[in-house]
Amino acid sequence: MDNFTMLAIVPLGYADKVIAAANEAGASGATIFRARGADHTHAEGFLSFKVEPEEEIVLIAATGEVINAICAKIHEKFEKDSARDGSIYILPAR
Amino acid sequence: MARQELTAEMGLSLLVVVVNRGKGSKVLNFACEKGANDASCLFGTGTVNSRMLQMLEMNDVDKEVILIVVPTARETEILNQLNMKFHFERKNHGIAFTVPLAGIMKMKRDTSVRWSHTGESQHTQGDYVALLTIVDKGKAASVVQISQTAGYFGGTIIRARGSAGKLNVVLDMIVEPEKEAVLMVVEGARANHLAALLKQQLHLDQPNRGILIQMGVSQTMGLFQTDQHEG
Amino acid sequence: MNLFASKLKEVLVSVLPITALALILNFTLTPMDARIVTKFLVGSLLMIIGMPVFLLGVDISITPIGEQISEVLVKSNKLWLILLGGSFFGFVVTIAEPDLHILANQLKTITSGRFDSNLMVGCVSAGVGALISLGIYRILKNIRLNRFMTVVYLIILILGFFTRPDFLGIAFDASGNTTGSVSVPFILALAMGISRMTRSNEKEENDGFGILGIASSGAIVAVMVQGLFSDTGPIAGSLPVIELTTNHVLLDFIVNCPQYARDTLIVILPILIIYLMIERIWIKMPLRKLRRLLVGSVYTYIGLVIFLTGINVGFLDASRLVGYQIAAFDKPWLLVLIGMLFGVITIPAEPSVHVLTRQIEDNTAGSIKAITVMVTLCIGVAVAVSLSMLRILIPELQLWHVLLPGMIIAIILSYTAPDIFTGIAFDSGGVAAGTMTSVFILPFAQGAAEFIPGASIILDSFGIIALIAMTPLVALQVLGLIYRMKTPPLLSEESAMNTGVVED
Repeated sequence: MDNFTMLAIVPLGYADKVIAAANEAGASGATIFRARGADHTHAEGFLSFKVEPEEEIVLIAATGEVINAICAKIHEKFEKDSARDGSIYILPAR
Repeated sequence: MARQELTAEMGLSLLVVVVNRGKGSKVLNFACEKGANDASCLFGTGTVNSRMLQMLEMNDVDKEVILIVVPTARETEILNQLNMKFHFERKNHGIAFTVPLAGIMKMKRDTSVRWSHTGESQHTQGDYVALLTIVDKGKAASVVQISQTAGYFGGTIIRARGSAGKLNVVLDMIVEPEKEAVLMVVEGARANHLAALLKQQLHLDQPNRGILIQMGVSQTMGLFQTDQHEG
Repeated sequence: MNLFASKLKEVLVSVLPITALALILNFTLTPMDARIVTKFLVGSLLMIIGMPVFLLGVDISITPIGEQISEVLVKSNKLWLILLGGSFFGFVVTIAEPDLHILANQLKTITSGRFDSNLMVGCVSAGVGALISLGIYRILKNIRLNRFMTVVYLIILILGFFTRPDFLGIAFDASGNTTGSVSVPFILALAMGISRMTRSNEKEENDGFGILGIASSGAIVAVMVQGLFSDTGPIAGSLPVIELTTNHVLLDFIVNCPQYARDTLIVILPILIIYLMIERIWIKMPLRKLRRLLVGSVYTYIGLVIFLTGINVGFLDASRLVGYQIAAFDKPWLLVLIGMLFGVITIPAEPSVHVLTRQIEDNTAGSIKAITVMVTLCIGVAVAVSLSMLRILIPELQLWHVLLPGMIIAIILSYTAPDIFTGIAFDSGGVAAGTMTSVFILPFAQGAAEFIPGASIILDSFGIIALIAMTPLVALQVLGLIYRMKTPPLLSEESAMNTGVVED
């Protein structure tokens, strides 16, 4: 049975939704980190400071099967619930 | 440089960079310039291994941890460019390492995880292993101390909160307990020993004590592990 | 680079502008005698040594102490205990604040003893304690800060109608003096700790910010209420000029040092003793961690004593002299301009500002950067000092002419700006008018007022603090609006534009 670590990177405030979805799909727990994302805009001129948006990173450790279920559930929720997109990375864990 | 859509088919890696606080935004900008779509930055705290500074309680260093998704094929190239700019080869200038991604998904667009096909190498053992230990708030210092007393290098402590196990109820509200995560990079051969040590000392095998994750690292930069054995 | 080295770097960048400006003024517009310049330079040096030590101490001692106390309070799981604890600590840190005692004694002098200084200190401390308790209640019950502050400001406004104009300035001055270098990090950590520990949904992110603004308004209300019920008679006479001079420059520092050493001890010791009792009973940390806290407290103490001695002895005379000489040029624009510069360079040198901006960075994962907040704060305070100079030049311009519209704008903005910026704004208002203001901007204004006929030293200088506490409210909330405007568009749209989506 393969173990994986899932990192879901979402805008600030969406971590709770991700976790709710993950719990429905059988995750047993999650850890949330605060982070900031990159600002892709090329700022110029006065008031040209960059705004790096606040993000949350949700870490869930689970088996490949559960990860698949979680991702499907998250997709289902985020497709209709949320205006914003996020990314999920899956890392092999030992 | 134009940004390109990253697909799991091309083989992806997660580039993790740890630098002193203040340089995080520079690394993020660098990632943008190199065309990375996904880059995030977290705050952490590291420790300097100096007895004198420890006596003076000045051994803390503010750190930033940056996560960037890069195509595995360009991993070496990007690491080298990063090194040119941030000089990881010098001591205390930070570290960088890559972990192969097993899969990736965009929440709104993908219905299922796109598992990496080139990721067969993912289970091959590299020279180094990244250890992520997540424990209750206040215990991270013990994690670092256990590892340092056992002759390993310290780690970077990152603040987090959890949503697991027992429910925390304060004033009729369900609240999320605060957690701390410790990120450490250790030699592959000795990783299992350290993991076992941490598991035993922190009782991680019992429920709700914390978790420990090991990830194989494919490339590293800026690690001075061998120098640290004595420290 | 370890924590101390990075603090030292941070402080160097912040303090050098002050030294540079003073030297430039000395060689151009306002030549000062060598003794005052030497004192100023020694003062700057002490500041550069003291501030990083103090900030390091705050990081490893005062902030964790505040957080741990909040943890003990929250874990008690009793609402009344959390609220009582909050008001108790608010009371303790305020009553020990030396600046508050100095202000109270000044008031006693200028009202020929008819103003009860001890009563005022008691009132203000009780007011701060009560408001901190309400502020914690706000955090626990998720009452939005803008609604809370609207009510508080309405109360201040209503009281303001019945308060004599001279008392209005005094009330705001008291609020500036209550948030001292030790109470700022302590109260902030207490509130942030409670906020983090009781977070239960995404709407409660960072609602610990705003507590300092709430605490300051407690002082305002307290002084106004005291003003209503006490017959103080006319405010007359002049402020006693504090003489910190002997014949020898270094001796000045040495002679005055014990006073600051005593004052600072009175502030830190109660917190430390109460904390140690709580720690021994409920926390029981390993000795290694306790040692760290104690070493940190020593850093906080030593750093603050060096810092306070340096700025008080070194800067007071120089700023007063510069103010007088600039006013003597009889060019109003010059006074306004130099006042503006003074405002800009004071903020980075204020320790509480560093404490606050660090908390902001930490709690937004660096999304709101310390430097951005600091620059905005500088702009706000520059405007405040310029307005104050205008008030000295134009006696018809009353304090409330500026203050009332400013506060109304601040309240209106609080309903449009992002919540976190509203919190930061109200905190900055309390923090901006700190120690540096009282040794740098107030003497400058007093010096100017001494020269200009028709300017009243008392009325005009008391109003400055009020303005310095008000303008950041507007400036930072405007920054919040800019931030929201510049926040990258919704991620889905953005990625869809930039990438050809690959379908499976």
